[in-house]
Amino acid sequence: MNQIFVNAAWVKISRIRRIFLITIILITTVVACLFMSNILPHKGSTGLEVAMVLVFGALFAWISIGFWMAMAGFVTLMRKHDRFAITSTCAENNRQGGLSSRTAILIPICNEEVERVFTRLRITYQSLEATGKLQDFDFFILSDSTNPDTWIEEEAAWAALCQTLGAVNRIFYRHRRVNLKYKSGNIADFCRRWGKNYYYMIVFDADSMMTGHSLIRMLQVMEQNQTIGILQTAPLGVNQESAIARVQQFANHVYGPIFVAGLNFIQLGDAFFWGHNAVIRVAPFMKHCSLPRLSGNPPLGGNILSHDFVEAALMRRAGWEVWLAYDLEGSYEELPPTLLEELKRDRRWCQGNIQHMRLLFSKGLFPAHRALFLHGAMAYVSALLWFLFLSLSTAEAIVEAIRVPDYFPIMRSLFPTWPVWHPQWALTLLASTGIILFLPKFLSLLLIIFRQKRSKEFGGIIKLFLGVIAEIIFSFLFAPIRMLFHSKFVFITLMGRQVGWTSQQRSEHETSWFEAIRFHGSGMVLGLIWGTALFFINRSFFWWNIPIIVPLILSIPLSVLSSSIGLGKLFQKIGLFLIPEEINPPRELHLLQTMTQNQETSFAPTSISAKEGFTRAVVDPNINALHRSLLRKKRKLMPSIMKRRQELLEKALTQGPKTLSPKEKKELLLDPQCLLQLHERLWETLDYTIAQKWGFSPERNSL
Amino acid sequence: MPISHKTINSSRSQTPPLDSFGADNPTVHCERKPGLISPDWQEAFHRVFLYLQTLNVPEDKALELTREALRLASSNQRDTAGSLSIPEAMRALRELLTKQLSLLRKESFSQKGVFLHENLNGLSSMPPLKRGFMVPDAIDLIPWFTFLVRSLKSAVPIVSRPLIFLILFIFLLLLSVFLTLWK
Repeated sequence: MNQIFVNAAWVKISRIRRIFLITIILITTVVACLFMSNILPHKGSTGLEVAMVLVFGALFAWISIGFWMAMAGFVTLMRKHDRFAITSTCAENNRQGGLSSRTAILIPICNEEVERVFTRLRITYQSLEATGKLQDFDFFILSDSTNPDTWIEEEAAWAALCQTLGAVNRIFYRHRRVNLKYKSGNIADFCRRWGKNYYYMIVFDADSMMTGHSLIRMLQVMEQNQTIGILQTAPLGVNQESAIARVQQFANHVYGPIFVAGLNFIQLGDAFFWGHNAVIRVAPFMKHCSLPRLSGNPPLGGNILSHDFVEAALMRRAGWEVWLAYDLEGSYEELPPTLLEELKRDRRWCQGNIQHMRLLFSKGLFPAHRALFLHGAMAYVSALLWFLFLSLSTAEAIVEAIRVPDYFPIMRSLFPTWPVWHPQWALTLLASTGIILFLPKFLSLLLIIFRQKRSKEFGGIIKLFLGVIAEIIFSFLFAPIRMLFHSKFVFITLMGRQVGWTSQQRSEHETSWFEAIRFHGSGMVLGLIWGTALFFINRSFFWWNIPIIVPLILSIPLSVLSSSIGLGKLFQKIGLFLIPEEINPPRELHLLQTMTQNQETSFAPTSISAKEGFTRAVVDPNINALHRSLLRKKRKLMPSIMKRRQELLEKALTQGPKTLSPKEKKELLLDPQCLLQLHERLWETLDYTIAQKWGFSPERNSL
Repeated sequence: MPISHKTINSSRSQTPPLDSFGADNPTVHCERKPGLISPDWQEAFHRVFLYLQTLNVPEDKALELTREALRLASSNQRDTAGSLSIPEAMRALRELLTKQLSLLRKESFSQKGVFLHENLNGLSSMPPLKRGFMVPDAIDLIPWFTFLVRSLKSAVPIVSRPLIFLILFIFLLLLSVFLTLWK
């Protein structure tokens, strides 16, 4: 570890704050556990009840962390000035200061929606251009796309963008043939090839966007603080249309600030890295943050999936600080448009976060980062614990309903021991849990209305208040569904089943009834069986569990309705779940909306759809030449490979592109000679049916 | 989706191109003597013109190139009897484009993207390489076990000190006495 950075001023403060946080969490958890054991029929004396109290304790501690962090964030934001806000180290009047180093903006993509990625890139580029500091930046699109059509679409979009913006030799494109180690491997590949050219790199996700001003500000903070290895921003969700995504976006804007301020209060220089919308100092990253391959097979072994947490821990282990610029504006991302997309993403994250447990005891890591590994895993394991708690409490309820009460548990007793239940204690515990869960939300509301006076940016006080109430109802309804899925993800990960790393559906689309039945059918059946059993066996316990049983039974319609863009637009029309970026959109977001609406015609020079990348690479002479030029130099191939490719070429020529599998298309695309031959022979063909298969109109008919 | 012929059809109505590849007034020529141009060559004309349109070559320049290509193809065909019009015309066009590549690039339409060749008008997809290393630090394969051993090792010097050992022993003794009495 690099000792020069260890004695920073914040280190001592962070220790005190963390000890205080742990103490306060422990106290509240112990008190809650005592309450819980007193509520139980046997006062926590049976094995089942001990298990229940333990699981409850773990869950209560988990929600207490969020609560106390939110309290810390609330206090920080109420005070307005935070001496440990990293942006305060670089004065406002310093904003116009020049940059002394070159920066690469990296956009790693894998089978993403090409137009959307390039539109965002274009806006970021233009925003940066407007700051007058574009000359210090280069852009890299690092593609891992495996879909041959997407690959060609990306190349065409890149060339068109370079020509449109005059960004030749400023925007670069690289496609990896083998997507080794996924995103982290892609970034490492960039570092090995060109990392030495740059002092900083800013990593984007496919759905990220940042304003030029915020990019410059981040770099100025980095230059001011030479001990920072990674500076993370807190991206805000924008541009959502579906109902659930709009709710998430609203929550992100209303509650997000106090939670990230609280995170910064506790973490200080030991912060998270979320993998995007962050600046990284390249040299220490290259030296210390290369990810090893874990022993054993996936899901717990193999390549590290959620690489960002580990990279932050490794950076910190080397002595460099990792900070969260929680108050920096102009950093945006997009949220999953449907519940199913969110759950698909969660499944990947779940596997990655559980994999981190293998690194928990790695030598040299800072305790804060070990805690972050635990925190990440608990984000999903807590669902399984909740499920376990519900199962245990159901078992207890059934046992209590079936078992004959023992009025004389102590032999030779004069008086019977009556089973007494204290509903007021249960209500107190329920109320305190409710406070822990919902008080931060109302404090956020108060902060916006009274301290920041920003309620107009959310459509006014009434709409803001109604939005919060509606969001709470939404979170009530979706919490049991998420719990069930997360429990399943944790369970199957621990069972050794692995998930694929497919690209996320980012554009707005709705969940069909068929999809919803397929994914939520089992959950609905479980809810029905559970509810029916409780209803007949222990009616009072059934009523207590209604908030969990009903959403599970209604999970199919909830999933479909929440993905509805129409409902989302209705919310927007009546002014519910509005965010400041919708009422007064920044220039960049306004541009994004305009360009997204017009994007169908933007990147298509011919009327062959831009999505038919392979067909375009064969038919369009420009795309064909462009693609061949981006391939490796001609190589000598084995006769067997040459023969196979020749056969593929003949197949493509005679049967058309639709008969080729993605693998076959990719093989042809990798061979410049084959592609040229295919292009020439196709344009020379006399067979009009072949021409039609490749998208030509028959000349004979048009004459 | 097929390549659109709308533009071709519209251009056809304005400047009909078919003649004996270079006549001054092709329309009149063509209409008066339709048999002069065989359907094969008409198809070849449209194929070549379509290719140039796909290449983003402006219409007037495309027509000019098409005529030249067809003239060249026609002369080549005379040399090699029996060859077909479309392949011959396309080959002639390629020959012509290779010769005129630099000229084409200088023209204004190059901004729309006429690549034609592997050299992309100076457009580079990647900067020159500047190799660096990024080697992962060795990672413990069994961190749980190592952590346990490390903790025990760090505990050994503490426990081996007589005074600490004595205090610990007394504490444990008192604890066991307390637990016994409490029960």
